[in-house]
Amino acid sequence: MYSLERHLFNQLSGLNSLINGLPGGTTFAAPEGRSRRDEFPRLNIWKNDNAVVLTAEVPGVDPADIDLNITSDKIGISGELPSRNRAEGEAYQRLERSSGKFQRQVDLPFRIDTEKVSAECRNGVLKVRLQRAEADKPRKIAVKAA
Amino acid sequence: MNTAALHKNESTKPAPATVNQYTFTPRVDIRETENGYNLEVEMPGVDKDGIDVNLEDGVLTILGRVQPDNQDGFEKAYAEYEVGNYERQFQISEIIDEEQIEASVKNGILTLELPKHAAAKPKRIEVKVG
Repeated sequence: MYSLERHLFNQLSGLNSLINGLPGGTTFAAPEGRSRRDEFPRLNIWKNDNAVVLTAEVPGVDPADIDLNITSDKIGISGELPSRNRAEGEAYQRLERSSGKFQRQVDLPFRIDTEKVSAECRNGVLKVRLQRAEADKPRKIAVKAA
Repeated sequence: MNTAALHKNESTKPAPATVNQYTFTPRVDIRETENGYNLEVEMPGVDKDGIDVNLEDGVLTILGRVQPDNQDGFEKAYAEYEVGNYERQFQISEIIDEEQIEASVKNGILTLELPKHAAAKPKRIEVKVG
């Protein structure tokens, strides 16, 4: 793998290897059970009885460029990664990051109140807090002794 | 090689002395410019205080320590990623001016500017009409 990388690298750059990933930095076992890891952005969803928290990794996205589309049972995230600005005479030697428009939509674990949503984005991590709709909360019915 | 598979794969290196902490190999774009190299390294969840850039014996080591984001009082309902630190190394040729390396962080992206030594920059030689 390392020699293949070197080969590709040399082909791309047309120069001797000036920068190279070390073998230790680029070989590893692929993690299992994460089939959606190449989607952008990747999402985690947390819940308790009253609320849902969605986090998404959006490195490189300006928070102002993120659009949230929230319905009572779905959340959609869309936006665009900044395009690469390669000037004349410049060359990419590694291109591993995603680019272009992205869009994801996921089902929420229960119905939420679309009026009670807050979102923040810090260090390339988006966090959306959603409150469970009152009508959707489980009710405890006390059984009275006859 | 499928570069997409590079993202967030666990490094073979042991994690730093933190319990239950993943270490990932971050995705990187490397662009060569006339004056040097520009690296953009994806480190979501890392702020500037969590970043260590070290250059020793021609090896550039980039470390990102993530800010833990525990959702106390919540349980995981669906997961596509784990939270962890980032580490990656690159071999750097001696044409980089080590003293002039600059690093900045924005929106989870670490940007490194690695300027070439003046002697390594291309020189334009004008051919005069005789």
